Amino acid sequence: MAGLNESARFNLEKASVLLLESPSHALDITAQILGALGVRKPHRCKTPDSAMKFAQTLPLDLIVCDAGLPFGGAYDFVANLRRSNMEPNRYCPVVLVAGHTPMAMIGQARDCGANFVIAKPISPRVLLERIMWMGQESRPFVELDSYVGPDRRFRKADKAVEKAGRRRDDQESPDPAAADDAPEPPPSHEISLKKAQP
Amino acid sequence: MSAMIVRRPVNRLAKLMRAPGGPTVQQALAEADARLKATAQAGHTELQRLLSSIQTLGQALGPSPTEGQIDAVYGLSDEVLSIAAVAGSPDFGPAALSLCELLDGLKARKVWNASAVQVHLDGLQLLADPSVAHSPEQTQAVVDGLRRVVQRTLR
Repeated sequence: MAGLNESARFNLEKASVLLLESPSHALDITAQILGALGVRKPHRCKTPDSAMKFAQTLPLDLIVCDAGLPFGGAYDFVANLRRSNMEPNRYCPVVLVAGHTPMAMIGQARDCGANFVIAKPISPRVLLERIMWMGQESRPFVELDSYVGPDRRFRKADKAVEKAGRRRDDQESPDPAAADDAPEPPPSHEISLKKAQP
Repeated sequence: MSAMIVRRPVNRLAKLMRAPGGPTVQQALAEADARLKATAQAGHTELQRLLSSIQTLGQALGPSPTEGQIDAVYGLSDEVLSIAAVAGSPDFGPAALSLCELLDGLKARKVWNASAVQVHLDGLQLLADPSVAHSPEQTQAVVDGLRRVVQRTLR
């Protein structure tokens, strides 16, 4: 596990962060953690509709979204955002936070176009790790009929299995330096199934 | 086979995070811990409310509950899972997770097992009872028992 460099500085003061979560104590906890990480004032939305309207009003740098919204609203919101013409917000990093995470939910989260899933209770360290990772990653954004969002495969993970890729760009390295400098993915790098411990 | 479009958008978050200023990781995490500790009392009150609601709604489930009733108890249990540790009562997290898994599994299989649910309600009530002293081993035994119930029920 690469972990965090405790003395590293990061600046989220000017980050425009959207927090989409049902009103609850858990929402307050998430907002408190974001505040501690330097986010001045996360924009809180209670419903996917209001979040989508808000996303039309200003560029966003990070979206934190509760996977437990009623009727699968979180997944639809992310999928609709990814397929929208809202630039640059359709490319915005999205973290889904979830309490109980059955396997079906993990698949849904991956396929809607979210960058990561974090299991509740949210640990400040885990959230910061994921934010740092998203601030460094160079995953391409792919658009297919069946999926729009960050490439669900990780370059380092692909290297590890040492198999020839199926896509043309698997054979190319448009920015070899970037590939070499790419940070190691977080431990459970694509989707976290483990419960984060505060 | 559909064509794939690959884009490499500017990572706006990366640019922002590299701007001068901002806390160190250590400072930010210390601030987060302090803020979470400050919410602990409110979290404890909310946890008690949630546990009470689980008992009320859980006892009303009966032999053939509606999907809405099951979802309501699942939602409350999911909230307990989300806040228990921050509220200073981490013991409730694994028990709530077990109830979530049970309800989710029963719903997926379109079956109902009132006894298995009742065991979970009793387990949560036992953990919440201030008159009963719980050693870590006893708490773990309760959680292990609940997990076994889920495994047997959803086998």
